Amino acid sequence: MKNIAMKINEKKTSSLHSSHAEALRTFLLLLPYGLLFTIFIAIPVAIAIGLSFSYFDVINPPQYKGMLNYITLITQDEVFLKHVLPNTFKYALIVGPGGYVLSFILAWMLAQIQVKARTILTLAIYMPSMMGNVFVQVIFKNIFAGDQRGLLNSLLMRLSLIEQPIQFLLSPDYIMNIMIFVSLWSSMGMGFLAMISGILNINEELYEAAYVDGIRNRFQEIIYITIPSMKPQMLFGAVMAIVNAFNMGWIGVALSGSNPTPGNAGQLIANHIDDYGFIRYEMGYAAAISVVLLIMVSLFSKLAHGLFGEKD
Amino acid sequence: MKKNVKALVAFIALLTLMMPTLSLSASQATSYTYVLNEKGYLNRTQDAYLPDKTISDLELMSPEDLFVDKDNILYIADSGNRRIVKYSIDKGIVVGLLEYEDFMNPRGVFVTKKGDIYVADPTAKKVFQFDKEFNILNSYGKPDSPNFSETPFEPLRVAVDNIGNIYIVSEGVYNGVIQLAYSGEFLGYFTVNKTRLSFAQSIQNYIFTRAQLANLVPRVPTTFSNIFIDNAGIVYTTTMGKNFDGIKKHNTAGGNMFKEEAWGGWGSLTDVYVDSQGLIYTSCNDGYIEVFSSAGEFIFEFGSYVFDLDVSGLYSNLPTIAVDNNGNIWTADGEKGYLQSFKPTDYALMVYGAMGLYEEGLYEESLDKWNEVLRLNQMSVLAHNGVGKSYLHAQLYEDAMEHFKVAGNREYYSEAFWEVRNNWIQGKLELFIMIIVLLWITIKIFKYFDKNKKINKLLKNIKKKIYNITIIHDVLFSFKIPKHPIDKYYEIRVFREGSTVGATIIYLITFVAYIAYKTSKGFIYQYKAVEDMDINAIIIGFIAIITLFVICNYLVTSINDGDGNFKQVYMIPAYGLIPVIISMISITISSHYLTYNEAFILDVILYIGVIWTIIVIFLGFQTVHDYSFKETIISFILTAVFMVIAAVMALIIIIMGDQLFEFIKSIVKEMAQNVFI
Repeated sequence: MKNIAMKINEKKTSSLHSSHAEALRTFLLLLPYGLLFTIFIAIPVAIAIGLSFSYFDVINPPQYKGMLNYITLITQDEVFLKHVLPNTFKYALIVGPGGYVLSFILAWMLAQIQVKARTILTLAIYMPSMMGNVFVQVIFKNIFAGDQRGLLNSLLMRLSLIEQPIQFLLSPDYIMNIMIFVSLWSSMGMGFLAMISGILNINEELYEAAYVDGIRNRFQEIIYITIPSMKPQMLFGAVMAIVNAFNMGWIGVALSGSNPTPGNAGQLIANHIDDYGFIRYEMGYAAAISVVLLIMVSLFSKLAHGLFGEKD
Repeated sequence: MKKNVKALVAFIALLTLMMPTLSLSASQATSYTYVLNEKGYLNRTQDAYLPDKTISDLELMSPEDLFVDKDNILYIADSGNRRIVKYSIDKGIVVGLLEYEDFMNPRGVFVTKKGDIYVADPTAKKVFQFDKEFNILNSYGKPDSPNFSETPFEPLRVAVDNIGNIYIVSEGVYNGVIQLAYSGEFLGYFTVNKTRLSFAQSIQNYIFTRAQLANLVPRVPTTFSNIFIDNAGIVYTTTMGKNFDGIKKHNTAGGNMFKEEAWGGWGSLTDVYVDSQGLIYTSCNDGYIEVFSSAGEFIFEFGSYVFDLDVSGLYSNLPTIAVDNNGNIWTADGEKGYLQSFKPTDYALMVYGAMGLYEEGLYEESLDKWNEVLRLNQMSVLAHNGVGKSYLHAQLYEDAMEHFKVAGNREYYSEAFWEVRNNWIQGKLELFIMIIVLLWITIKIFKYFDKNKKINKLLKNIKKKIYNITIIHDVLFSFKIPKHPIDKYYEIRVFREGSTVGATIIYLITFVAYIAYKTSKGFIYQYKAVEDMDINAIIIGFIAIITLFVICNYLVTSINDGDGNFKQVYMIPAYGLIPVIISMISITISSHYLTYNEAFILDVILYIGVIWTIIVIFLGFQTVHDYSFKETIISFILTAVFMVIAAVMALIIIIMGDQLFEFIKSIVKEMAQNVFI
């Protein structure tokens, strides 16, 4: 008995020894990524969270103010409560799920056609999300321009539906809907690519087996085979869609050319952060808003995990 | 007998004695004054204006235009007598007659601040300019600019801005208001009305060839009927005909400054006049006079049409209106040729005063005024709006809400409510945080002590027992359907789940939720009041549509190889209704706590509920009848067609049944009369 015990002990020490080396190796392997992550992500986030408890105007050293910024945000900031919060929810509610469903439908449609056409179309659809700002400046500012040379105004006037050109980009009544339209148009980003690859990687035999089992149409195919077998990509797409929906603040500013947007109608949280951080130089307050944004995004991502994540 | 006569005489004497007192207590007004009520309909109110002076001794012949200058002198375009009459309102006498040899039919008159008189004469085809002493200064004929080309130049009305530009409304010109510089040079058309095509005309535009279109009556915009320029140099126009244009207040580019079209009234607008406060007065050819605020909100309407009676304040033809410096309205009857003035009552003056104070930013003073108006007329929407807005400025949001509710002003109510709600949330913020923290802690403690999940199991057992009661089970089964429609409907199909009773209960719940959704939303979202709704129509409509749908769908699917029997067809829609029930209930509840800022939330909830239900029911029919996608759609279309046919049939049967009943009744009557007697 003792012998065995000793042997086990020996084995343990040796494995301990070897695991030590293993750990070192793992550490070294992770070091470049860990270093970069810490320097460029973890530390800035930590600093931002720290700053959110202070008053900081970039010139003077930050002063500790406790929870003051957060209290101001949920009690005093009327623009935030009256416009930014409802706007952000409206925008995220439509652009998030809308863009997600759109990317899935487009990805599924593209997966049905030949390789060459698919490659070209994929590139075309993916393009707007890569160079969105350029497109907004070149195309959408032209389409929605506020004089009679704007394409939409010109069309409406030719059909004699309106008498005078409408200031689409400067009117609080339209800017939000235009923002949503443009965002949906350019929402086929990383999530879309992931979904295409997900759909293409599904084993064809699964479909054949399912047809043997009694599936009869494309809809059932999607419900029973396609979506269940690409859950990881669906989850990735959902998270990307949520992050995208909460961070696309620049669109309203790019379209209207002003921050805050006209009548605060297109003001999203990201604009509000920009407004306080880089226009008013109230870094502490801007940091507090971004922490709130971080919490919101992570809560919604959790929701997405709950819906699409593997339950095991 | 004698006694009777005496009594009669005494009675008549008494009557004659009472007569004067009776007529004294009656209002002098000859027509009712109307305002808009909180639902946007016209309502009678106190008299805003009383007929004042009737001046018929000026021997006017079809007077066409009136103008009051800064010295309170009324200029009358006496077109039939080819002259302009200058009448002093203060003195009540004619102070001058402007007769000029070239006048043929002077129909428009305008006086500038300097005192220059402009006269428009369509027959002479000229606009004349005179100075104070009636010396001719200028006459403007048809501009010879090539741009003007063949356009007819027959000036009906004229107005001059502060720089001296002349604005002319000319007969038969569709291009807009002619604008001339002081020198007579043609500057262009100031503003133009939109051509409005009927549905048929716009279709013609698309399908007709150019030659065919040329044969049709030309589509031209409606022409202007009058023009006015107020002290600040703002141009106002009225447009002929019962159209959407009505009154317009123009910016310098000619666009309309009113956001919503100002109420056009019943007839064709003939004239517009603006007083120093910015109030807009308009006249209609059928004798109605309307007053609008400077922002184009409707304030009052009074007057009426009369053709064979001479009643002051009623017109056979009302071509023009003007307002003197005391706020009295002056009008002229175009056919009968007399002048009629109206004096504002204290009520009207109070309303105008309050509006003026509010526009100047004196909110507290205007509040006092509005309260006085409310004392005179408790239901005045204008006053409630005014009081509410003043309270809003004073940050008394709850009081403001009350008044906006009475006034039916949902937009401002929503704004006030947002503030009230915000204050409430701010006050309870600590409580909310405490509750959340406490809940979190209790759940943690509960989980810590309940490691063996005994309590959890107990709760689950109780749940299971309740769930196993048949009816409750049948109803609650519907909650599983929205998530897995195909699987769960399959269970209905093979008779494992669901029952007719359960379906009936769900229909009842839907009905209750629907009625609640229709009638009990919060004030901001309840656009139609319960008392204006036809509840019977809603109830019968709801029941009839479901019954018809179930019967027709059963009939259609049973001849189209559908597998479902009648019981299942009855159950499918019921079990799919859960999303829409939940969305209707949650909208009804949350509409009491949401403002217009969050309106999209309600829209989203409704869309999700309805679309989800439609998808689920669609899948339900597909599963239960064992149809393909195409077959299901065809069966739905057939069902809809069949429903229409069935409804028409039912109508015919009801009408025929009535006839049949009458027929049998008359036969029985005949028999009773002829056979048995």
